[in-house]
Amino acid sequence: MSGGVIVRVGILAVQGDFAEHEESFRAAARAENSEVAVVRVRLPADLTGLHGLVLPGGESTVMARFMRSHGLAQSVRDWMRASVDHRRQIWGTCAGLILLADKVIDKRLGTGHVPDTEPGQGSRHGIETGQTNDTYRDVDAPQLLGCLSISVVRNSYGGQRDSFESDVFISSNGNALHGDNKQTKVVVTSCRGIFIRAPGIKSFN
Amino acid sequence: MTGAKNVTGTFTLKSGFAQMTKGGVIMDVTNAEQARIAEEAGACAVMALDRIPADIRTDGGIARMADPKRIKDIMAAVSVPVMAKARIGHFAEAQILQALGVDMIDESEVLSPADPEFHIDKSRFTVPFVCGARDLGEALRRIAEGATMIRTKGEAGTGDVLEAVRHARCIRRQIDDAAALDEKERRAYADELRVPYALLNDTVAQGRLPVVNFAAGGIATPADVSLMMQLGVDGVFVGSGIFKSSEPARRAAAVVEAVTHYTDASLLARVSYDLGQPMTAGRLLDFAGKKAWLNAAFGILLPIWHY
Repeated sequence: MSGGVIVRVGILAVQGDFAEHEESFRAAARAENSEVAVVRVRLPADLTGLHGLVLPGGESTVMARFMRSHGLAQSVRDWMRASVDHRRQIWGTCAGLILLADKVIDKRLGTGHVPDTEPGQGSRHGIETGQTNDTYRDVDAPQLLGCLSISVVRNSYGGQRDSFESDVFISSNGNALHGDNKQTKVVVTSCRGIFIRAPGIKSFN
Repeated sequence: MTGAKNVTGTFTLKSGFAQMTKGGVIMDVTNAEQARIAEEAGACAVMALDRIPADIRTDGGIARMADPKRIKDIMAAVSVPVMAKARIGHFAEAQILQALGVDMIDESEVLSPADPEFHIDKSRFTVPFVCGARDLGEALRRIAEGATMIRTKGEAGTGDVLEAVRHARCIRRQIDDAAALDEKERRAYADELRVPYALLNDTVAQGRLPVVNFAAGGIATPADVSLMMQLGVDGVFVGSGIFKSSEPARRAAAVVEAVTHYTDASLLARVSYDLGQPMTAGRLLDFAGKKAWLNAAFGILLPIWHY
């Protein structure tokens, strides 16, 4: 945005880490010495005058249910559709990615079996035992906004015990790779990635 | 390129998990069907239990970790996080729950305590823990042991919000008290609370507990949820309040609305409207009443019998 226009960023404030997103936008604005108005979005009227909308992390089922029941999902779709020259931007983090996708797949833990307890592979006190015989069940979940032509798998890496942190490398061809997938491509930049029960993009549709 | 390897179970991941539940309702469930009702209503996580607190109170006996089959059934039924309770100090139950792959463990006073002296050393686990607290000392001691989420203890299984309010206010007031002290006094206060000075200082600097802080224990209505949120908690646990009420699905949806719109009184009026019978201490009173009546009857009858 140029010409001294105050950028207005809305953050969906239903559940999850919306306050942290708010603080990050304020900090970024201070660092860039630019004026950013950050507003909380809970009802359709809150979209008025926004340049961008952020869908933060949290539980996507909670946010999706809320957005449907308050007419917010339709309002966001209309708000995007009324965007001129792609001036309106929408950004999803974690659960937000799930809300944006046009196909969502649930991955569910647990089969009713007890975990693998092979002799000699028991846990030390408080230390993760490692693999169990959990199987995953793919369930098609209803999509919410359908703004992005991708298939997203919820809980793609598993439950909390599979949550991980890792350096994320952005390569010269724009691919983002996390630690275990490191390749020899030229790394443009890197940052620390925190993957908490994170979704994964399965395919571009 | 340092830290190329993925790491799990770090403090960031454990406290980050708790942060993802903020502004949400965590509901007690005892089977897959209840778990689905809770998820459908908008619960941000469910707590898997053999018996809900109201039944633990009335049934008596020893309350333990839930059967792993029950926990697995609930995990298979929903995609939201599944938590489970371990007895205070029972690190073996916690190890089993971690091996089952639950997303968070509640070291809970609702179950029978297993250790008269020590709580679980939670820093040694990769699974995050939530613990109950009645005051700032308890909260910070649990955090020092590795808890990455705190909840008020309240009075579980009663539908009576009084104790939850008392505990939330107490924690708030003691943080304010600590903030008003100079260094020497604050060191003495840390000793009095039996907590590390650095942790108390960090709490004062943040002006709140340094981890996510929920309300729990006796919350039964959308108004109770709003009350606790306005007292400054990050979200709520609703235990017996949902599935001991006359219309669980509607009440569950209403408390979820309440946690997001806790300052919007007219919306709260709408979601509270004709919500059916809330969870009451009725069963508790009935039980106590019957017992008293029986005792009285025996008191009269026995002498007659002997006579």
